[in-house]
Amino acid sequence: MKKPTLAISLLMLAGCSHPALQQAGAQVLSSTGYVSQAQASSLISAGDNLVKSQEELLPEQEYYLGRAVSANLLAKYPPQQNAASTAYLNKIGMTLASVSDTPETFGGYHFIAVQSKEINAFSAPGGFVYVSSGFLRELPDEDAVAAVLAHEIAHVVKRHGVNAISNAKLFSALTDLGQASASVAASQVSSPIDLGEITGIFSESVSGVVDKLLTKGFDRRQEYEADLYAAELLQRAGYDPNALVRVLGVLETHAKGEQGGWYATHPAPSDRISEISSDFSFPAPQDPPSSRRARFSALK
Amino acid sequence: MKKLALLALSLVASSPAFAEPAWIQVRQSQLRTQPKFYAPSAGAVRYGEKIEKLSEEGGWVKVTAGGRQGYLPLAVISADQIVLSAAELKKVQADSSEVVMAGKGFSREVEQQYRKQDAAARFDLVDYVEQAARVSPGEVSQFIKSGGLK
Repeated sequence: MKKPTLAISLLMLAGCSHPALQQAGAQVLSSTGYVSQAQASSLISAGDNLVKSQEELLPEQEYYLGRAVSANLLAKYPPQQNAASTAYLNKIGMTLASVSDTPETFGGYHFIAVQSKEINAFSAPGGFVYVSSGFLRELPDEDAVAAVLAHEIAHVVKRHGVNAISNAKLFSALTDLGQASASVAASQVSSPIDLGEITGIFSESVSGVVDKLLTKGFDRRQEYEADLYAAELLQRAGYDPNALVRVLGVLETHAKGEQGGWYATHPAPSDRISEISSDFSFPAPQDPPSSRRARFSALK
Repeated sequence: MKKLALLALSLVASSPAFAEPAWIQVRQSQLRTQPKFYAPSAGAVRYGEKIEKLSEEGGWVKVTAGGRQGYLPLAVISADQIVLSAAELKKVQADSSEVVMAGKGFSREVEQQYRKQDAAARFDLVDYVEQAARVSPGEVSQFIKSGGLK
């Protein structure tokens, strides 16, 4: 191994927070003869910041988490395979996503109807958005569909799903893994973190998000935040933000006698209407142009 | 005098000599000719690609990438160097930006392991959704225009 490469390799190794790896780094450093023990300590210190400590999931990691969460959601709610309806949802969804603070995600946004009579909608990290066929049937116009998608995009942009699993243990493990991977890549030292361990953490994280989406729900603060951001997205995109209130009205109407779906995981629609009305300045209701009404009717 | 100082400052701020390095953190994006989502493309940029950030305004960054100049959404770039491979890692300078390793942690490799453990999870349907649930920028642009949207 040539000297410059070795130096970088050792710095990578030295950056690891995992004690076993740091020890391995020190051993490799001292055995090379290129540096003294004191110099080795200095290199270990200098390497601390090179491979970054992870404090949040990277977009790529959110994408793989979102895929696995989706694999669980879709096992329960299969996607509708209707090309025209899917294209329509994606055009509405991308109109909204493109004016959001995260217009592009690692793997892109995907919007699709899922087969269920429940009134329900959910999103997985990374930009996967699902709306039940039962919910879509109850929505009166394109602006109302946009309001539902905007609320789900808000959960993605605000990373509410990811926050369900964000904790110190997870990021410590991801940091160790990233740093260990760097060391392994650079110096061929075997990693003390095996694939089984990180897959276990991944599996726990997926279960945590699925549980949040299907059973526990986000907390009220997150739901209100998603409503407020949805109203802003609707306005930015040129949709009528009042559609969000109309959707909440639909939910209120159907709330009586409903147990599952949105009702189990969201605050009462009436509370949401009063909350958002105090925080968002709604314009006068607008009538959508005939072209928008026509394309909605064609797919209804 | 104040005006001169301001002029000097603005020249410094817009000078490419003060460009900051950044890296693409999504699988793929389009360099736009204007700071608008549906502006014409000036070419693609890919995960891990290094770009030079020239300026930032309203959620958009003006950049140079591979000799081309254009605009990218702020959300698609990272100030941390994204390292895709061991070969690339070996080129990293010790005094460079902080480094993150791509393809680690929650990754394709981990997904493969997870799939072995959880046979009920329907990754085939996820693949279907990724393939079927997408539209081109041109289609969305037309949809916005015909629907009286912004």
